Amino acid sequence: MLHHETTIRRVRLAALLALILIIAFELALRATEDQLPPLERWPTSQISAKMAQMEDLVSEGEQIDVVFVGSSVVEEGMDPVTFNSGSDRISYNAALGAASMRSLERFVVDVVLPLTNADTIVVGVTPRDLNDGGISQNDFFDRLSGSPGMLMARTPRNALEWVENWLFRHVAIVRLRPLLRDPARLLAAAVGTDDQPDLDSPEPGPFGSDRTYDGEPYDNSAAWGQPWVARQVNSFSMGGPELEAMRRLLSELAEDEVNAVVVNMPVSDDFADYLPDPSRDMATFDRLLETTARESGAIYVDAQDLFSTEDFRDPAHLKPDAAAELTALLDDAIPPSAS
Amino acid sequence: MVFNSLEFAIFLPVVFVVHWLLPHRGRLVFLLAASYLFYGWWDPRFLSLLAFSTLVDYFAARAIDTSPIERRRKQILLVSIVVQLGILGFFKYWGFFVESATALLTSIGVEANPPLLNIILPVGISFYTFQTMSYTIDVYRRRIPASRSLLTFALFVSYFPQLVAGPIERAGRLLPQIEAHRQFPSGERIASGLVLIGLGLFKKVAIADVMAPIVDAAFADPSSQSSLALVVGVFAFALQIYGDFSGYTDIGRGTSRLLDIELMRNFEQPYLSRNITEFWRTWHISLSSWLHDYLYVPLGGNRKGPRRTYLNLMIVMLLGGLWHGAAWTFVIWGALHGLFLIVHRVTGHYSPRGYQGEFSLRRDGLRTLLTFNLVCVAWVFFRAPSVASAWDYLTGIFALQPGLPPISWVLLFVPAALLVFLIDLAQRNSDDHDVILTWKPAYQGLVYATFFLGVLIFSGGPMIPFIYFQF
Repeated sequence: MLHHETTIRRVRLAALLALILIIAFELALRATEDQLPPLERWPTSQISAKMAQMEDLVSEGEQIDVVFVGSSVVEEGMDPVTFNSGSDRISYNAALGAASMRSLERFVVDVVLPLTNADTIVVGVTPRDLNDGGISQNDFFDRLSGSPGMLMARTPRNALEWVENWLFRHVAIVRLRPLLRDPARLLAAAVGTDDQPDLDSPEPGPFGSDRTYDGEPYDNSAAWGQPWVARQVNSFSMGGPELEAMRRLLSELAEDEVNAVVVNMPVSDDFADYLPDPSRDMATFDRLLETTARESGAIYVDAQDLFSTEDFRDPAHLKPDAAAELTALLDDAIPPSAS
Repeated sequence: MVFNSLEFAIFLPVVFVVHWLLPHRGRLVFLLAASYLFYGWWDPRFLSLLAFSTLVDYFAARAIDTSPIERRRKQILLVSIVVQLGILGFFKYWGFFVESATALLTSIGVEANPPLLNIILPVGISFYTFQTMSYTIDVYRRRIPASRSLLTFALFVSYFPQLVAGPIERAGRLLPQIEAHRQFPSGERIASGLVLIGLGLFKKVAIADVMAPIVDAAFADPSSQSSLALVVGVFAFALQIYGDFSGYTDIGRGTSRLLDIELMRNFEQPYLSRNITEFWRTWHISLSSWLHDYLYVPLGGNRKGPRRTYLNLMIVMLLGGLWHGAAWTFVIWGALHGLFLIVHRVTGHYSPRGYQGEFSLRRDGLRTLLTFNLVCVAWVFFRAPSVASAWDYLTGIFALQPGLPPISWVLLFVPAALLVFLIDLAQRNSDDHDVILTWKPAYQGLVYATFFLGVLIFSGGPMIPFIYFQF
């Protein structure tokens, strides 16, 4: 009995001491926050660069009318320069490499629309964007959701998000987590060599998209396909949270009276072959996408079979010429009243 | 549902409170429902499989127990084992065997296109299959009576703190605890449960998940890394898998303690082992003891001479490797450990006593370091995506490619390794997993603050699943 009481008394004292230590750590962080390296707002340099460009365009008084969103398939498949040159409207390619519909929904609703006030959102979609089992897609969603930029921008939708937002704003340990997880950067800052070498994707062009093409032949090698299947297809399934996010996005756009254009993006035959059951999965995807788009009143553009293999640089991504061709088609597909 | 999720943070307090408000039978029904909810959270379709396995072995054990005819008892046991291994084989090994057979046929010029199916592996199937198999075998061996209550047996199979990644409990240990009229735990026991949960979360979030990016980078392209970076990469994997798996066990044991059910220890500081035999007595104890009792001993163990002993060791380790997954990398991992165990026996250093006493750096350091490095060589095959990739990794290490590991790796790896070493050293030298509770409040406080801050700082990123969920 005596031993038991001693243990409990010790634990209580220890818990009190732990609390004091945690508070002391929090206060020390707050006191030194100004001297720490700046916090990266976004999880990739591509998002940081695109955000900076959009903010610059808006601050210069440019009205961005049309925003293209999607994954890297849209990043490389829709060309804002072509669009802008053939139209009196200004477009911006806000596609995010590795994103899927859950990430795009939050990014468009909480970040892009409030910033740009665009009147048309063009959403390019492939089966990979509606895949609930993709490792890459889910990782990206977690990274984007937990990023300082998103936590500052988003409107909480449930109690958990409200708590996360509150903690981010008021608790330095939570706010500075990305820095505290990176002792190398803290060390570099301490010795004055913090040069933030975060260049995981090329600098985007002036309207958010980089149309460079190195002339390499079509790459459908196993070295390209195997990692793609492992991370993007994984345990492939559609009809769950990703599709729900798409429905939410289209319904939110409709509520805000923003025109939505849903594009069934071109993919190569090899792309379909990466899916567990190519013909069934592609048919299911077509049906889900068209139904969801039409139910929400969005314009639906089926561009899936418009291009042949030679128009692709790899099974998922178009070459620049084909991207320009697709973009010109889109310009025609968006009725004038929509922009 | 996973332990390091918000869902579980809500689930556990609700289960704790409601469980202790209910009478004995109500608790069992509630715990069974909670366990099925816990499992079904991942994919409710596989609840039927869990229920089917439960029913098969419940009725099989009852029939074995009541049958006076030895031949009939044996037949029923065989049916039970065939059904359980059949389910496991279908879900876990179908693709592996079909691919291997196709490759073999193709190599001799025979065209074969067997159906591959796209089978999803039910999480935890290897664990609960082995648990229920040990139950029917123990009933057959008359070591335990068959459970009379389907409710308690169903809870034994599905008990959520250990359902998905073990420990693989024996019926003789767990069933009596489930059946007993359990008492609300004392404050000390609750504290020890919470400290175990905190320790487990820390190992998972602040050790294993922190090592994951280093490991992924090292194994993604071994040819682009220096030899030293590859060494750090595989050492980081050793920490990752240990933090991940023993962390899961700690959370499970701590959770179960809050329900007044003590689960077995699954790890006893394995990286402080002084030889490979000791490693296998301290790593994934519930699996290695299962393989010992239900495979090694029936094969003859060490009772039929040295050669047969070596063969038995190799068979057990090969099957142990295959238990982890349907891939040649796991088979080679098992074979390497089999080989290490045989060499240990052949060289005459084997002792049947198991691990003994305190760890002394001066006395045990060198042997421990050698054992750890042997284990790490085998981990390369365990972690690599293919045999060729594992070979590239090992040749990359021994090619002595110049260069240093990235500073970010070193700054994350060294503190993690030090923390794991200190935690294990404290537990080993006290022979007490709850040793923290005996420390002075100042030290305890520092540890709790470290746990809390570690979990807070390193959580919130991408969710990294527990490695052993895939087994």
